[in-house]
Amino acid sequence: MAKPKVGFYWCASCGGCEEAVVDLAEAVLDVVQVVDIVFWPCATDFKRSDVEAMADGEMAACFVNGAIRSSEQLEMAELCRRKSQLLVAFGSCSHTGGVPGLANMFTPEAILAAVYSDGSFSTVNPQNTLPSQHVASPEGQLELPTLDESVKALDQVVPVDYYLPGCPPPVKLIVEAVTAIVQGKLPPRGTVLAPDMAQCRDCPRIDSKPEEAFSKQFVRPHQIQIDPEKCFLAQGLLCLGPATRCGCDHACINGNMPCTGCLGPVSRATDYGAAALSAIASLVASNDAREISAIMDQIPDPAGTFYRYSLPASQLFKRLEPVGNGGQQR
Amino acid sequence: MSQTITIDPITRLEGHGKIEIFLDDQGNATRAYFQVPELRGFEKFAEG
Repeated sequence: MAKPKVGFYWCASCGGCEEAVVDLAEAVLDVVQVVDIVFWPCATDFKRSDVEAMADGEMAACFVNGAIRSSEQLEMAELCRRKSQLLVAFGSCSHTGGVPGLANMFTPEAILAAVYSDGSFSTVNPQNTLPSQHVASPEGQLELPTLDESVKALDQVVPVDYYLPGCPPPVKLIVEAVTAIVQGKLPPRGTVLAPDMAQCRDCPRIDSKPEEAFSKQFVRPHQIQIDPEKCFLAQGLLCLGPATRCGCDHACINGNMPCTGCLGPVSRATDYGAAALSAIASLVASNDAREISAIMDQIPDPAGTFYRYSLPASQLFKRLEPVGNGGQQR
Repeated sequence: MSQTITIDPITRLEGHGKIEIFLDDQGNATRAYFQVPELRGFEKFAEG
């Protein structure tokens, strides 16, 4: 029997998801014994034209990581969708928008200016040449993809069958997902392929978790000597474990760093950041609006803290008047 | 007749890229353009 064909593709990502596949180490040999990799730009030489030449649904599964933020990524998401029976959103960016989704706080124009305009950071560009979709070179026409107004998660542009969460997805979850696909033992479509309970449930530090509001102060990891045994919340650190799905064997927590929420929400929560903010706000020991406000103001970057991996998939989606339009934050 | 060779995407490396190679009538490369069709904007959204 022919081995099922699988593909991997990346959109607006960092390459960490490919590293996660490499982190399979020897287990990757087990994977290639049971599947045929037919597309994976990072590691194999198949081109876009090879995918276009496939029959629709020819791939048993395609794992797409990265958020969708350009015309090319949209085309590739649609192409991978059409050529695969199962489309798996691989990693936080594809699942909920991820870190690149924080670009939804700004306009594409503001981003282009920060990256390319003369005098920005290390850029020397006296003619202020910006990337443009059509460029007429003396030899012929060149085309670049356009930047969309906003960054989107994969399921905001094409139907997605399964989600492998995490930044990057934990190796154990990848192996379980590939095994389930090969054996045809999959849960209902739309399932996030990770345990549906919060980090705190089996956290090694659960015994010291505060049970009632107690906090007057939040601190950041570099400001204190972190106790390696005690609940981070009890130490005044923002640990988003109460709102975050488990499945990573507490990788960060066991490294003595608080959870930043990359595995996203459990199925009961519709908006990850709101759930995380609610969990943290419930610790604030005050009933005075002004004092509460002063305590919460100690959190320096609320959007980047609570929506670090999920702004595009949240109910907020983006800043209504993004910086760069001259608008005020609402 | 002049011809264009498109390599899309460039493969076996970490990152996005595309190469357009323009050939002349004799089939020699006259110019090649390396394009990076990917921009996330860390420079902006990581400010502060």
